Amino acid sequence: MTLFSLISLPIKVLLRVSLLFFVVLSNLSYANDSGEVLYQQCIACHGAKGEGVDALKAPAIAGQDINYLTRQLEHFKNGTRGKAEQAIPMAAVAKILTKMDIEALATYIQAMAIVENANQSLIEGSLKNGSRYYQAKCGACHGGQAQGNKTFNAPRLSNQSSQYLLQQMQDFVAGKRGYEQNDKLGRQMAMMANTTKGQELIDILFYISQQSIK
Amino acid sequence: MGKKMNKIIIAVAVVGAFAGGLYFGNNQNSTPVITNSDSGASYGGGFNKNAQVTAPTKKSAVAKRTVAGKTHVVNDGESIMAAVQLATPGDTIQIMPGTYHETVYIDKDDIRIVGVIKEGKYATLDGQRKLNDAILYSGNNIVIENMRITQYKGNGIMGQAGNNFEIRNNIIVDTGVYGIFPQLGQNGIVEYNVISGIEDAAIYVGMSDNIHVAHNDVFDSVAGIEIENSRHAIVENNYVHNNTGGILAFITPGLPIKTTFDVIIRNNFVDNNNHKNFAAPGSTVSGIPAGTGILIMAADEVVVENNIISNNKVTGILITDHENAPNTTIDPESDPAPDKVMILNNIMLNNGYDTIDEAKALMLTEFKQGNPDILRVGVSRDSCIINRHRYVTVGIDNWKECAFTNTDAIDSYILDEPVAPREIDPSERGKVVYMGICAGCHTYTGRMIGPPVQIIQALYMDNPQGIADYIAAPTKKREDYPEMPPQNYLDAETRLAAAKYMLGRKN
Repeated sequence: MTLFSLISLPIKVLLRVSLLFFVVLSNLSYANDSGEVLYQQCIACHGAKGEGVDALKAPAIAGQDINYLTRQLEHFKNGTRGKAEQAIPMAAVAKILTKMDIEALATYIQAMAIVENANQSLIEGSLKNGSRYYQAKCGACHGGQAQGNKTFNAPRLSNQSSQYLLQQMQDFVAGKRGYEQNDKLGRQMAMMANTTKGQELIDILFYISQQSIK
Repeated sequence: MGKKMNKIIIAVAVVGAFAGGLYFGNNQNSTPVITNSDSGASYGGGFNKNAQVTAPTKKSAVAKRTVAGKTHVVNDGESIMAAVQLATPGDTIQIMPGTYHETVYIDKDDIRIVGVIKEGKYATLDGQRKLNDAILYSGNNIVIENMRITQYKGNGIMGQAGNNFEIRNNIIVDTGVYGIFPQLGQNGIVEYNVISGIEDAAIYVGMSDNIHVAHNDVFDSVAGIEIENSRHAIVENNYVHNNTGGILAFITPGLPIKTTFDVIIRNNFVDNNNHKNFAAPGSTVSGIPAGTGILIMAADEVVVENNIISNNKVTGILITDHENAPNTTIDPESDPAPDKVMILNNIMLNNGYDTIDEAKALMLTEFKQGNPDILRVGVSRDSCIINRHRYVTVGIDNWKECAFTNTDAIDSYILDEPVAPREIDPSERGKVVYMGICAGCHTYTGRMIGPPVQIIQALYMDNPQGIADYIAAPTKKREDYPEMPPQNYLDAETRLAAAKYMLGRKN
């Protein structure tokens, strides 16, 4: 990363990056640590309970599917994901995780209880319209109640931050996620992300936000 | 708390949207226009028979047999399919009373499947909740009669692009998604069948033309009789009761054929269609409010005449566009508005007694009280009604008077001569399979029975072989969707052609 490109980043991102480097560097001595210990470095952004922090653009991760978590960490590590500006800190952290770390972390995070994220800023929309377009465009893979579906490697979306989901949809459309040829699942999602926008997307996100957290 | 408030706000917004789409009545208190339907002009219909036919003959959809074929008798314990394999066009398969656990595929023309009913005992096809389909036919000039079909998971009788068919006198009980389902057929009769316990449509006329649905007893299903993306259809003399919705004429968005028009719904009993909706949540028909007598969604030129419509708790006749219907996406190539709806005389008794909140809100906008017999939401252009003063109505005060009072001039839309068998150019095979089979459950953009085609395109992208392999032996992948029936009766090449065609669809 050049100095120039660093300067061009917003201050907020820089602060987060430096914060993360601090956390990460202070933990570099870990080797074959348990998921719980490894998770300490995630708390600064994702919260102690894995509930996510909208202000830091960090998604809720507690209770997410282990395969999804593993895949995303690997993608951040190998550059398959991480092009988006807000993903840079995560990519930086993932780079120094070992395969075993990833496995331990994913196992630990999957086992965390799902907690309702009270700090989410809700996106308001039409439940009726959201329901019809969610079912038409999302539910066949992510489940009728946004509960996720392992068969399609589709993560649970319920209880996820609406802001985060909106950002991801924008990233998929902009080619900042699901851009690698070998990331077939990401490309599948990018293809679907291109089928919705505007108010319809807002309504879909609202529908997701109204689903039960289980 | 926050979520509850959101829901209230949404409810108010929805009501506002409905009210915004309404015409406000201006003649509620004026002298009613009383029309005597014993005389007066007759509706001309939308199909010009003279353009395609020669001399009138007795009403029959299949081609007349000039040479007597063989009769293959199938006894209890034998295989119907084996007899079909032996048969050649012109033959009759006579099935003796007994129980048969199999799926029968008919890909030949001019075959008649005739069950023998002996002292009340039927030839019964029993899928035992393991098999998907009882009878699938893709041939032309097919007759299926006197069978009893039960416990299949998918279809009772499905036509796949076969023209000139007659399906009659069958009893279909607790059989999956569709009871009788002619898809992409022209010139067909569905009559005197008794159908119940179907989780989507008991009779589903899909993407077809010149269809006659008459004298059927249809009950305990989600949708009784559906005329969907079809034209020139008559639904008459049926007893349609205790379904979630009774008789439906509509356009499903995202199917390859984009219109429904020229449908006559007459002389039916439409009673007590208040059954709890047991369709898969999120699917199109799961949006039908329990208590709907007749539903007209986006279909044009639909006549509703001389039906006895009673005890349907939401409303007797519900007319809606796609925008206001739940679980319905918008297809840019389909006009979402039901235009030229024609409501002639009907007996309406005790409908709308426990209606939906949207209907109540709409009634408020027209300062009306009572239980709605007829409810219209969204846009509907050039529609008409006679004797409107008889009913409690919402959204039709500004409809004009119809210029005719009956459909007596139209006996049937069945053609006087059968249409030519569908000839399929090998290069068109994928398209015909897509239209005749896949589109029975998959629309491009919406959730009908299976996942939308758009999503399948994303999942399989440049891998048509993946689809071709999967559909030969599908596994259940979605807990809230019905399991896909295997399509292994199609050869590998045909499956691949359909898969390639599916991946290339744009709508």
